[in-house]
Amino acid sequence: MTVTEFFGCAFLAFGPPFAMFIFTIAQDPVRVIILIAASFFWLLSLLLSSLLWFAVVPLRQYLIFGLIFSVIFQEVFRYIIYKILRKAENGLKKITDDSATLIDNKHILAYVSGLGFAIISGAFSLVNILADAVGPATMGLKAGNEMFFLTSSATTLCFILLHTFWGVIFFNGFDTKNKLQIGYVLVSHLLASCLTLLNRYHVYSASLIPLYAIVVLTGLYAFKVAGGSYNSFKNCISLK
Amino acid sequence: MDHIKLIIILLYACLSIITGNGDRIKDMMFDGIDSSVPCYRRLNATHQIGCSSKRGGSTGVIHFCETIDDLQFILNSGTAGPYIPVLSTKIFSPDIVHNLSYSDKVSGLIVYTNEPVNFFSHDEKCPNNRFSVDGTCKNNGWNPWGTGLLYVDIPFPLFYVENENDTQKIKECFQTFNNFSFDTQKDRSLCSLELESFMFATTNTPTCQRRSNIVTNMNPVKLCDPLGDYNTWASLFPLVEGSDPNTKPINDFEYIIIAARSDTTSLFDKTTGAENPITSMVTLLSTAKLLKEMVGKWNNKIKKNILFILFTGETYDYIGSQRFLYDMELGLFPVDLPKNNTFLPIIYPENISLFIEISQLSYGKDVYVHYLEDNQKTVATFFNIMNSSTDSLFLHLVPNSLPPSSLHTFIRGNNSIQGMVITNHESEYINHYYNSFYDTSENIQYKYQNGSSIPNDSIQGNIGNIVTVLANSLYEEIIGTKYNGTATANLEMIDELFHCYLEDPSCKVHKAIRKVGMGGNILNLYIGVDIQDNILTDLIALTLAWFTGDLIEESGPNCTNIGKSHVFKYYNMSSNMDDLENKSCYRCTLNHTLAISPAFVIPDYDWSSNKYSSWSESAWRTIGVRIFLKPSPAHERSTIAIGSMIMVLAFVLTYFIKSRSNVLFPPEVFNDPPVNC
Repeated sequence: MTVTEFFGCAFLAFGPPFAMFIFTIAQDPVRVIILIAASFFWLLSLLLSSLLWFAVVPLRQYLIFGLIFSVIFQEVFRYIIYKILRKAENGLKKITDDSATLIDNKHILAYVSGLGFAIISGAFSLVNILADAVGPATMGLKAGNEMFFLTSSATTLCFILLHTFWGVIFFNGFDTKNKLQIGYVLVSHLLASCLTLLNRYHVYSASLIPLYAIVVLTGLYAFKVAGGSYNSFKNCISLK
Repeated sequence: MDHIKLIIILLYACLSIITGNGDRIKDMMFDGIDSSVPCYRRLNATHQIGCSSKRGGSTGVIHFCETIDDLQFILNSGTAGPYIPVLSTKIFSPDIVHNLSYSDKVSGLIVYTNEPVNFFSHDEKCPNNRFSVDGTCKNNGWNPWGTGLLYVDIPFPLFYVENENDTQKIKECFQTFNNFSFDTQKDRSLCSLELESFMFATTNTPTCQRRSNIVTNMNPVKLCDPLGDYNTWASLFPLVEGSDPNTKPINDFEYIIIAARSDTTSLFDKTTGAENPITSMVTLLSTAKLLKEMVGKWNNKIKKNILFILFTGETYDYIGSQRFLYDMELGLFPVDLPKNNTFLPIIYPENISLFIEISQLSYGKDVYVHYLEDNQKTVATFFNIMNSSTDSLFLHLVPNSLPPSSLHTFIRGNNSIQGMVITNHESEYINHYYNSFYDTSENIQYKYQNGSSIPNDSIQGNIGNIVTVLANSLYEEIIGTKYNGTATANLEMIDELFHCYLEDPSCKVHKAIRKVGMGGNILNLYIGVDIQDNILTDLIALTLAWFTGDLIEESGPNCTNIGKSHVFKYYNMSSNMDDLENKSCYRCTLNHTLAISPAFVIPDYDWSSNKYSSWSESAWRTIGVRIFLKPSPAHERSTIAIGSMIMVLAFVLTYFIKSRSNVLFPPEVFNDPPVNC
């Protein structure tokens, strides 16, 4: 029955990261390893967040408390993997085939670890929902409406893209000691996460539209940080 | 020590985490209809009957039908099938089931109660006809309201929803999502039901038994189980003389059997069975109690004994009585011992002089005594004794007539046994709800009096009269003289027994026989499968033991069977149901015999011979009804379209960016400062 819905939602949320993985990660084993390592660090942050939520009993029912600390933990662990990657650069140079691109272009490592964060966070936020979408039913009997699965997938996709962009901006911020970039990542992460709190009122457009605005903004910022510009974009199009 | 403490603390921490239960999205999507009871699949030697869902459950859109026209409407012009119609018992009929069987627009059926119906019986017009004496079912049959639906193979799942709140829940969901603009139904989300009652067994019992016994792996799957339970019996006088452990069998008894059935059935997994069989059971138990009070202790002048037997599985082609007679003819009753052993007398059919079966009874002074042949002197004599010992009842003798009863089995046996059936009907059942869940206390007009005085013109009073007549006549039959004591039926006990079986299993009688904590649900009188114990059988057995047992001493730890000859059973029970704490030790003659059809016992039994009952019940894993919202096909299509489009777009875009990344992100040109040489 709603196996169709299951595949629709899975394609929507995980199609883009899958494409990115196929075209940009899969050809280099070192990138795959770094992707997995980054995912592991995101999981550690999730573990810490959940422990904190579990320990602070009186604040358990307040979603916002867990949310803010979860964002802080994620960014702390992003910093930790940044530090580790920068330390490991010399070692990586020895094992990778094309050290030139991987190490010289610092944004690649940033992009790979960002995508690692993105994929695992996307998986964790959507898998439970997808598992329930396989059955014959849809939302709307007791609460919500039938757009629930579609909007959940769209939100997940949104966070997958954001995590990738944040990785690029954040790493560059520390490389160039640019406080604005680090601050932007923190603030936009908090803002995007808090927007999802609106979902409990079942007005999905209220969270989705601002979220995608943030995605576009962050995407452009990351594009600029990674060395892109309007001119390079024009060149890219015109070279066709 | 510190390490151990730490480990313990960690363990506790882990345990406390494990006990956490997450909320699932599923909980928001499904809503269980917990009070639903299914219809099962059963099999005999040639057919399968009952219902089954698809594997994993059948789903369909709810259609709440107030009238037959509502049902016809979706059959003719429903657009969003398959549907699951929800019908009241008032309009539910075999014709509807028959029509729906041929419709691909229906994937299941729900039945609920909203108002009383005049008749509701899904047994056949001639119940158990294939295993009865030929020609005993005439004209309209014994059960003229019977539809026979119980014996139909229904190709879709069928559930009965007991609770009114659940019915309301289904109705509200139907009103909110389904009950408007039927033409566009298929374009929107619809309230639907999932009925899960997948039955493993198919075709017939021999097939299913063969498939269950295929040794293909170490863990064979059981597809069906024979219907089975235990017959309960007790004798008025012990079958032995002397006291434990120096007992000697009494071999020259002539036996009278007082029998009743203790099971009923229903199309759904819910039975009530007030008139059939509870009235018979209560009459039998009360007769046993009264007779025990009348006769006192045995002396060697008494040459007649009485066996009180409750047969189970009688609804399904006389399983209990068939097995009982089979055991008896082989010399296996009461135990599998040689004929002249030193423990117990072996009882054969020829030792039985009279068989009296108590069938359905009800409120009303007319009592009919059915028997089959004209020249049965014993029956006629006993009837005369009965007739002479009553002025409160109108006894009618009905010759050449025998309603469905265990007696059929004994008449069809090797030695035809003389017998009679005592009932409330002459040629057809008074009971309009034979073998259905409408056979409730209202059907027999029973009201619990709870200790206050019981009017003589109530069902309790009427049963009391019958019990008194029966006990007096039996006394005269076995002792040889008229009873001149004052003992009469204990109406308060009859009242309590009805209360136990119809309303509250945690009643005083069950507390007195030391079975407590039964909960409030009335007991299911369906025989069940052989591998599962039936609580009711134990309860009736202990009650019969209490009524026929001898009080031998103060209760105590010695009141057990340990170290004794197993001729008797010993139980600690209250001496009186109004004084539960005052316990005594009872020595009882009670025992069980297995009630599984001989067909499952005889090696290489020929199933086509149709000699014995062959009913088995299919195995299943999950049973349940859930309500949920089915997404519209349009919504499903748009979801997959959006998903696929985004994915394809992402692939194209990523490939494009990747292939032109050197242009898009030009490498940084380092403006090295001039080198100082």
